[in-house]
Amino acid sequence: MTGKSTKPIKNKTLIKIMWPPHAARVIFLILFSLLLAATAAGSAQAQSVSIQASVDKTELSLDDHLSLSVVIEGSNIGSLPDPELPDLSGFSIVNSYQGSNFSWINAKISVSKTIKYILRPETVGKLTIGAIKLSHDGKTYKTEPISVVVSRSAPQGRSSPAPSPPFSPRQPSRPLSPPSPWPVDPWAEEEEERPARGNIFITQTVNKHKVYVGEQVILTFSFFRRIDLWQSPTYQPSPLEGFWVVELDTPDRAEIKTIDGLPYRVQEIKKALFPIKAGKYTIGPATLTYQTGFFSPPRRLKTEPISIEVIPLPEEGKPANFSGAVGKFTLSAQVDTPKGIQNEPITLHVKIKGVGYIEGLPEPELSPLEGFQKYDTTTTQNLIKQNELRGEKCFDFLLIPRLARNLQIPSLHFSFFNPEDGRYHTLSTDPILVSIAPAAAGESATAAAGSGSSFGSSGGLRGSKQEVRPSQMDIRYIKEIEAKSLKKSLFLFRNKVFLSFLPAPLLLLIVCFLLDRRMRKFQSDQRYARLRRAGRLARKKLAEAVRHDKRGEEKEFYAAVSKSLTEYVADKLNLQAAGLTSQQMIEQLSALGVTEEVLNRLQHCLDECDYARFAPATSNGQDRKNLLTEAEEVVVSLEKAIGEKK
Amino acid sequence: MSKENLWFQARVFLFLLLFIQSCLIIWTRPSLAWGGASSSSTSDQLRQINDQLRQAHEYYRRGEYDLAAGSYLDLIHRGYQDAAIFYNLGNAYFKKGELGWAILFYEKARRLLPRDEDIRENLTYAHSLTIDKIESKPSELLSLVDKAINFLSPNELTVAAASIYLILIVIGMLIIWKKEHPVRKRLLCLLAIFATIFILAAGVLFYRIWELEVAQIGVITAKVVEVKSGPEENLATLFSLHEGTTFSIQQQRGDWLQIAIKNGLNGWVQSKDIQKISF
Repeated sequence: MTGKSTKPIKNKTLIKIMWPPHAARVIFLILFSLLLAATAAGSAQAQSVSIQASVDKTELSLDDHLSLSVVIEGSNIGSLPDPELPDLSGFSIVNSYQGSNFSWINAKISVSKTIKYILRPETVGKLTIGAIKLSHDGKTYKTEPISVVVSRSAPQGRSSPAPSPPFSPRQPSRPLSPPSPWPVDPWAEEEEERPARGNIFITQTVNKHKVYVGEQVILTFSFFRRIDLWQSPTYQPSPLEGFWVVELDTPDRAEIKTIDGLPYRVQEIKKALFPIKAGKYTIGPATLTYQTGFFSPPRRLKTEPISIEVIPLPEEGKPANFSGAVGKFTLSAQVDTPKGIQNEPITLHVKIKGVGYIEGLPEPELSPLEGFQKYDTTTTQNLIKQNELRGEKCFDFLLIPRLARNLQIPSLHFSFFNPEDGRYHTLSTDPILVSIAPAAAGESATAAAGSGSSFGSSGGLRGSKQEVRPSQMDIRYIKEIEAKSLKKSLFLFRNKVFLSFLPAPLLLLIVCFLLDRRMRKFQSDQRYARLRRAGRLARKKLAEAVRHDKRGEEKEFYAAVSKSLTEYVADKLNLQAAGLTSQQMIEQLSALGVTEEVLNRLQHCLDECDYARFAPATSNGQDRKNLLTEAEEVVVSLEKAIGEKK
Repeated sequence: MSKENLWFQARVFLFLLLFIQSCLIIWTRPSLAWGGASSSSTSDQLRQINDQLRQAHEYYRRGEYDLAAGSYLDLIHRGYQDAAIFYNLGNAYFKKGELGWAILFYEKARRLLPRDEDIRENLTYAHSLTIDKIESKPSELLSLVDKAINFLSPNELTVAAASIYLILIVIGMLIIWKKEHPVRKRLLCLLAIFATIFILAAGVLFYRIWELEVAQIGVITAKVVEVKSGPEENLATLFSLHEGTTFSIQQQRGDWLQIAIKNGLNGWVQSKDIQKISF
């Protein structure tokens, strides 16, 4: 578990204290310029500007470097221009570097800007760096020219042991500020293995050396100094394997502490460590690399290694639901509203507060809820990282009440180990009662049961009736199915046989209707036809009777006349001629409104025919002629009478 | 023209009628095997189905809802689309915690057996557990009409409509036959009453058939579905729906369906996340 311990440590806080970052510096300067402008307004106090140039050595060899520093001092850096370099013949500029410094002395602002040029000599001999000019407010400032002797070989009796340019490339660890592009040779840094209590020293301590697994250990790194540093130091933290690491807040200001009678500015970096496993651990040294001045070489400080013994948690008295929380905690639970509505979610807020590894706290177990449905839990945490890691973690349980009555949220339990007294503790919340109003009407059929009843009173009153209400919701049970009752056909309206039988009754009805119509028409047709042809047929028959008369066939004559009259009437009445008596004929015709006179004559004709046919007496020709004429007249008058009626 | 002639014509008509009917029957030959499973399957098959049903029941009782659901699904795939099987399958899915599928099968069961209390109760309960709350206020009258329309199952409605149709035909025949009879007026009155009932029944039936065959209702079966503004994965998500929410399908384009939920919101979902309530 290398975990967080080996990842790059954010040293921003340190930078902030040691050396304000560029942006902050600019803002500061602007602010102070404004302040200055306000105070200096109208006063004759001119801005004093000075320019100075210096080199690190006056004698050097051809393969050496020369560092030329130009320091411009003034009260307003914003207006400080860049200096004009003279003709640097004999040198080539390898690099340049700018730095600014800012001081506030006796209510006066002093700004200095240092520009460093790294020069390499190109020729041997005495070289002169000409005057460097600076134009400001119409005035020109100049530096004194500097002479340098360049020899072919290394000069003897060099005063400075370090051939160094003042700025080294950073050591490859973690620079606090971006490394400046410095192309010159790498250079060995001096180390102070055991820092004496000099002007600068560092310490690293822990508050406990013997801890339980998961117990909080505070690792404090302190940086003491009495002098100002040229640049922000580089801090390399100790590797912290085997621990969960949470960085604590660092105070913004350096404290002043007196050690051995001397005031020191102290800066601290604190970390909360949580051992993961039992065993013996050694926290390796932390290092700090610093530079006191512009020209001084960087120095590295190291702290002593620290050994920590991590002991396992006791098995004795370990609660069943213990899940590794070590520290000191409190537990609280509350719902957002004591009165809910059925099927509307309510939130149960559970808060664990205390000192320890808050981030690693597990969700407290919620025992099965009766009448509630539990949804996702959301977790929020609020950490306080001052001196030690403390804070609170909130678990919001989203619960949806499914029953409309008073529901109980049972107690929640949370166990932790307190290293202070070396014992396990179990916290419990009180059960919470929530009254749930039924949802709007029609929402749920089950809502009706038990709504509005008081939870407490029903238990308290002895002998009072108890309402029967569901204590738990569930679906109804499955049905028993018999294979016999299973049908493969789903819908009757999809069945083609069924559909094919549907048109049959309608078709039958249509057929019946058509047949009926035809029948009726045919019947009426036949009647009409008989009516129409009756007269014609009667005359035909009478003509036949005349023929019989001429041949002297008396009986046939009378039969023909009788038949012609009978058939005529039968046709007119749409009746069967056979079996039609004269009596019937008279009745039917009189019903049609035929006059008495015509009927009498018809009767007479028929009687005469019958008499003549069945009596053996002979008749004369005149009688037959008269009968024929009378029959013809009867037919004509009947034709008229019935024709008029129809 | 004679009476014999007329009878001949009647015989021709009847013959034609029989001919048309037999043609229709021949056309429907493939589906002649209609009726209960018992009538078309052998006793062996019957025993096998009974065994499977008992097995599924046992699985459910033991809490092996996956196996129970599988068993019931198999029966449905074999053509036994019965309301009780749909209901039991819905229960198995409910117990499995797949609310969307449970609602799908409860809805199917309800369409076949609209008055069954178990189905209605479980469907209501399942709906109450869905996460999405969609505001839609059906008026009292509308819900009453809905109740009336859904009172009878489609098959009951079909039989009812067919019976009224037959009664209408019989009344029609009587009217033709009893032309000059004093009963005729009463018959005409009866005809009007039955015709009205028939039109109502047929209307409701056609609405139900339309609902089952044309109108497409679906259920969300995935846990959460992001409803997109168009049939494309990388389009904007308009809203998300959770399992068990029902909606109507408006159109389909490839794998994507345009859906509308009850409050009028509208968007596109992938067909793998939903199931249609269809038979």
